[in-house]
Amino acid sequence: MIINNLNKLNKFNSFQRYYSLQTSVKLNDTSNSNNSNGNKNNIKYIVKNNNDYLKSNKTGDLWELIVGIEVHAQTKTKEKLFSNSLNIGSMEGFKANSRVSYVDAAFPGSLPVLNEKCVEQAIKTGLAIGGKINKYSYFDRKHYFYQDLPQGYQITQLNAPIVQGGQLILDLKDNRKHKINISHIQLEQDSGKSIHDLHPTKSLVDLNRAGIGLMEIVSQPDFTSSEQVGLYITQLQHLLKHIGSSDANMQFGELRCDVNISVHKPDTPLGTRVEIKNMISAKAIVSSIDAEAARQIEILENGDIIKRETRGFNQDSGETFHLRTKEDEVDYRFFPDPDLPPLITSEETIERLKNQIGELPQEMRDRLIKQYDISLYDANILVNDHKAAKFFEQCISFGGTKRDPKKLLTWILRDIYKWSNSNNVTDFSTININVETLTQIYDLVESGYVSMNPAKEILEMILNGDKRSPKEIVDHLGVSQISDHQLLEELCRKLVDAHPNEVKDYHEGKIRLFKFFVGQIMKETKGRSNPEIVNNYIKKYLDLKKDN
Amino acid sequence: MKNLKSTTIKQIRNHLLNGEIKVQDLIKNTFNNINKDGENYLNTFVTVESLDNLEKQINESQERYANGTNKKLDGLPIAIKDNFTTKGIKTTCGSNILSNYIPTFDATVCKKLKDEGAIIIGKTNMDEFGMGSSSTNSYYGSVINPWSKKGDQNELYVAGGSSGGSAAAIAAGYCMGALGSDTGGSIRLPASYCGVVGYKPSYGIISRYGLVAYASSLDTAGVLTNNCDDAAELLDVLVGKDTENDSTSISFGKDILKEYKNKLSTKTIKDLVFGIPTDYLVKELDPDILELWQQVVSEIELHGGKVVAVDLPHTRYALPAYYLLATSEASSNLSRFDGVRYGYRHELHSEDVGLGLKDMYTKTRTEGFGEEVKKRIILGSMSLSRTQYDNFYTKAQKIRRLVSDDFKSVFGNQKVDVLITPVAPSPAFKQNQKLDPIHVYINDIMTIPISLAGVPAVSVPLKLSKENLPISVQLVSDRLNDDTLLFAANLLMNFDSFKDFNLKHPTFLK
Repeated sequence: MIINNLNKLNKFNSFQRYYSLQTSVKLNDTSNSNNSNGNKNNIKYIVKNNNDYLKSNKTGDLWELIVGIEVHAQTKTKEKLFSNSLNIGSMEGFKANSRVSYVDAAFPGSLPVLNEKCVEQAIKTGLAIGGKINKYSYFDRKHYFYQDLPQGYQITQLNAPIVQGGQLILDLKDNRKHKINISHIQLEQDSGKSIHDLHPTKSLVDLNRAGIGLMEIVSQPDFTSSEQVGLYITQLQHLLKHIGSSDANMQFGELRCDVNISVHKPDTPLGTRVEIKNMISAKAIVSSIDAEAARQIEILENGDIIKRETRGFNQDSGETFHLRTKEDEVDYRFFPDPDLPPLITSEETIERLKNQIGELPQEMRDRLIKQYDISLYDANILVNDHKAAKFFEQCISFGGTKRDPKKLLTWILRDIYKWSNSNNVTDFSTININVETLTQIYDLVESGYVSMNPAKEILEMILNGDKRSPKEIVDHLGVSQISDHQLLEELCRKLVDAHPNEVKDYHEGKIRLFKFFVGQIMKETKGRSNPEIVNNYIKKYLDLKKDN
Repeated sequence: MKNLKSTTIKQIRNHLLNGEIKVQDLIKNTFNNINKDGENYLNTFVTVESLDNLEKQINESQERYANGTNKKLDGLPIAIKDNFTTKGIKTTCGSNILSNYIPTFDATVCKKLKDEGAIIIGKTNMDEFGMGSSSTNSYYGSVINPWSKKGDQNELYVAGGSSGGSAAAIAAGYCMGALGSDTGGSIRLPASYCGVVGYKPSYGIISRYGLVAYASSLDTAGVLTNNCDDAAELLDVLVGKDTENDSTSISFGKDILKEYKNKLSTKTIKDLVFGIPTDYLVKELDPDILELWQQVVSEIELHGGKVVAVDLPHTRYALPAYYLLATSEASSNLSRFDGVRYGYRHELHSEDVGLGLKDMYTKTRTEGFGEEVKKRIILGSMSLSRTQYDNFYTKAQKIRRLVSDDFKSVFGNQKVDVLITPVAPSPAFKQNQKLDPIHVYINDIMTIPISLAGVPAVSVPLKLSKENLPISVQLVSDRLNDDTLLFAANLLMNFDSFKDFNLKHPTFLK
């Protein structure tokens, strides 16, 4: 039923995305599914005394799941970690090996020179998770031979990483909170990409990605359910985007995860851990954890043992598969990189970066709720893309006019998000709308110049690329609202006069005919009439007829 | 034309300025000399630049002399050790694995030389990747010491290594200066075997960008010249922080040439305290060298200089520590030579296709590296391996610190300005002399502690041994006291008993 679950998951996700662009995951919804798929999905999450357990459907036994995650996030910097090549390795559409310096390709005589900007991004990330910044840190070399690792070693931080400690608090679906401790963040080089399927006998190598700065964010093994893992990744993504230290887009490989999974029975020693690598989405990671946990429980319940190994995840089958055993792994021969002096960070630098970060997502969310009296749900959506939150706040007082936050929120969260979701736009800043344009639409509606329905259509035109101002479009389409009392009163009087039968029926109790009269006026004025005024005059003349 | 060996850069420059010599003739003469007794007669070069390629540069230099806008090293023939990358000129590091490698960028030092008008005449032969003390570990054959006995193939001497080609090129009078690199003595040892000045500056004051790494924390670019004035002139161009390219480069903080000249005119030997480290008095020391060492001490005292005995107690641990650290770094630095992006690659035969990457790596590196390099990669890999790291690498680092502290104490508390030691236990040995590897490593025993400490040192040629081979002493100063060191070296070379050495010419050349 992992497969069944996946389908549900997809539906759930697309539903969820409609509102929030958020990857949220629902997994323990196995109650209605039958077990036609055999033992693939032989587990179920349950919560007991505030702790998460996996319950084996086969034996009814309880198991505890332990997961640790290493997140690799590319630093958002113009240049790579140790070279001045442009940092575009993950973007599509760039010619292979077009962003490669002598350092990236490890040409003889080239030397790494640390890009301070990458360090700053790692420090900002460290500060945002409440970690300690190590004022003395250094780089180590990790050796292995592979075609996409030009130096024959990766420059990383084994012994003295830039950030030590930190935490992330997760808001679980059932309103519990769960704390994930972060062990450390290390700075390291990304590798190039190997392409094995473009040539019958050769592997191709693209070094555009080689040498891009990565922040490896290593968690403690504090996860006890796959839901937590999904939330952690999403929350971390938002945090990195929020402070601008990484674009953190998994689709582009800007954020990648390796997870370590083990299961054990309560009050027994921890199980043997298995690593899963190379997953391309948060969803896949969550699914892989459930699949792997199910696999491990089945093995253990059959009396076998778990082998220490690295596995991959097949999204189609929903199963993990063997990649390599730990014994195959080489001795990395770590030692301090003699080309790079120790990395010393001053208190001043840390303070300066602290000031740059500003408000963190949770702080922002709490403030928005308090300041604008909006719901937690809406605040969460806004904060998920802090550019949207910023946009919202700017609209409120743009041009010196005060606008109603809740009405504005409707424009943003319903109308703009509806458009962006149906057009698969995930980054608010790429949407064709600016503060000036949205506030102009808002103001035109509020001042009665245009009514809501044409205004929504005009917004959509602008989102689709219309470069004219909202007022120009209103005027060009001739959809400005008729608020002329004399004109509307005359129209209403004539209409009521012309429909004596309907008037009679109305007064005999067919109240809904009121809508017929309003509809007729709207039809006649092509929807441009101010509905409030029309309502008043229709009522006035209907009431007059009653007296007769 | 004069033999370059007995001239100074300043003299040649004056000749060029007053038109007695043309750049064209100077460079042409250089190439003639290299090939006079046979093509690349001493095997000093892996690549000799062609006159055609240099024509434009030569003409521009000549023009600048004509209109008085000449630069610091304009028109002077300079040789570059083949482990510095040179744009458009093959750079092999003495190895088969780079036998076809033509760099697309200049090392910082090469760029600086070119920017000052120097003419790069070729790339000098060397022990593969700097690993060796005799310049016999080259894929391109051994360098012949110009002081070898003429006409007798059994009397060929090694040039010393690993910058043997650069040392021999200076001794042979091919050029006015040569770049070398020194990791554990690779400038100083060949300089002493060939009878030239070999200067290794303080670690970090010359950029390593473009110097193909052997052991990054020890590799130091330096110069080989006929005299100290020339060394100072070259260092003047080469010294400088290279923030953009080399994170280990540091600022020297003063103008080296100006300070050196200033000392020449204002200071005397009486202003200096010389130290004799008794720990360097080893049983392997050749009697001629011991005698020279003693003679230097008495000459200094005769001229009014102060000489004191000092202890460098951790000297005996330096050799094993060096060979662990240098090989550890080498095993890592040489990982990039894998046949994937440049250099030699073992081409798999069609029936091998599918054997895969590992096989390509193994065969490429097996065929591409020489025996000494492979030996050191294996030693270094062992030292860095998980189970051995603490026993070897970590301990060696601790020893390095202790050795370095020895020097700090001598130059600090004990107020010694310059140490005087032999460069090597013996003069050059014969090419066909079979030496066990340990004996070969012991040749470095006097130069290695200095490399570990990162302090500057210079090999100063003073006379000929009874065997008619050059012998030298090594002077050492505190870090960033390079100007004092050059000044002291110059004083010694100009003592009456030593000043004629530069007029003597190697015997092997016709």
